[in-house]
Amino acid sequence: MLCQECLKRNATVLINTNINGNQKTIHLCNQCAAKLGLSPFGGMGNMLSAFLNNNDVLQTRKSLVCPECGYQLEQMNQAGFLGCDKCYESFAEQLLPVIKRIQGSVTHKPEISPQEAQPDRIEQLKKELKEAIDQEEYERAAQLRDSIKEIEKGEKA
Amino acid sequence: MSNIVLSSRVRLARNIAGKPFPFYAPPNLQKEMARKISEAFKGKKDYSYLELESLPEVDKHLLVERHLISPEFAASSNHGGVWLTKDEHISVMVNEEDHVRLQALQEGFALEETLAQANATDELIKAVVPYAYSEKLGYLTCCPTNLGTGMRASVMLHLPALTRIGQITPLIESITKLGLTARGIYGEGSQVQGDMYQVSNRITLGVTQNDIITNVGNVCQDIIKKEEKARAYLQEKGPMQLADVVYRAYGTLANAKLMPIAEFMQLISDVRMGAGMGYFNLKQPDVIDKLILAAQPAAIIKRSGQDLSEPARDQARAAMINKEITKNVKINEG
Repeated sequence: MLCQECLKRNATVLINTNINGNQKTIHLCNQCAAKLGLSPFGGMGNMLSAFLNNNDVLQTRKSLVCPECGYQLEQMNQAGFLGCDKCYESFAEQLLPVIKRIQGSVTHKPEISPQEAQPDRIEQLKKELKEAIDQEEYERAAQLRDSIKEIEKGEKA
Repeated sequence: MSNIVLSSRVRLARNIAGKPFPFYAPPNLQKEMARKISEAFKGKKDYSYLELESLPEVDKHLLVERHLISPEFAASSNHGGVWLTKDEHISVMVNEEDHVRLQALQEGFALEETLAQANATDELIKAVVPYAYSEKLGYLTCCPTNLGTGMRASVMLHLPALTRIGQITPLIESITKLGLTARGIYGEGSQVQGDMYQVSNRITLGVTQNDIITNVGNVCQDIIKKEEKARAYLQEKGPMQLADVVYRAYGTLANAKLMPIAEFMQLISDVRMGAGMGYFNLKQPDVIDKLILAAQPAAIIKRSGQDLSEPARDQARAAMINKEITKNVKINEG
């Protein structure tokens, strides 16, 4: 595929954008990508500033400074990076819409610990046990019954 | 199937709580953080540390070619380095974009194993430094594109047949809709070489580690099936043309006297596909993948022990490949 910018070189960089729900895919060669500020080594940083520039909420960004590290919101606009972990609190109001656009979510989903997963696991095994009995697979059923016993024993202990 | 998958990788981005991210931290603080993180590897004999500043350029490039550090890190002037295990399955970049960028890398399709390895290394570091983490946003990273899990799971796929029948672009567009991306062999922004694509998750927040490897794994399974179908299609449609492509590539690799890297990657891609389809017998299953690593520019320079110019490299590469390919890859006469 040819680069959509110069129409001469082969496209080697694929840029996907999603601005206000408009998805776009652009194919570029390295040289044109660099010219457009989407250079391979600029990484997602530049993509982020594209998001930021489209965000009206950030009109007030000039005066905002993270009290923890002294980083300015405007610097983030250029680099696409934050100054420290506390910046996420300092600039929460401005950042959350941006995060929502990049990630499609603003809520971390914690890993399920083995303890929490256990009741579901037993339910699952019981369902499988019933299926095995219905299909007269008694050997499998016996294995499943043992597994359920094993987990229940572990819970009591 | 194993011939289509080259490797699986999981990387985690982590930061020390309450400290500026590396690019915004003064040099003495960067050094201090590298020292703190090093405590995690105290007494761990299988790990060794390479300090970025004292590493010659060619060695940095060699690490990039072996997928142990990123091209960005090789070019960085931060104080930091990389912790590596002897088998090169684990690498931990210190003061790259984040304070900690750890990766587990394995040959073949092994996302679950690599995730377990990455998490085990994560535990080592977690024991010595407090991580920047919030209940709401998960692991807090220098760039919001890595928030939440801080995790990127990727599989390197070799897709020559899909490339040949012109199905790569629509394929990449369709996986983009599933929240994944396909990049070149050295990660973000890198060029596609030898029909090799790194397929990884784009979204890191609002999903668990298991959600990510399940999603990446399922999509890759699907791509592998498509590549197998495309190979069968090529064989059925024009068996003589396909044989011509793979044997012609082999002949050139075995005999050419000057071999630029771009040409090498294309030819070895054809031979690698041929090997997967029974056109060749290999001395060891991984000889072609080893040859690909050995033919990269920094590897050629390192082996010669001299700072070779590009034309000299092309000559050294051709000589090495002529010898290795005829020794390790035989035409299947059957």
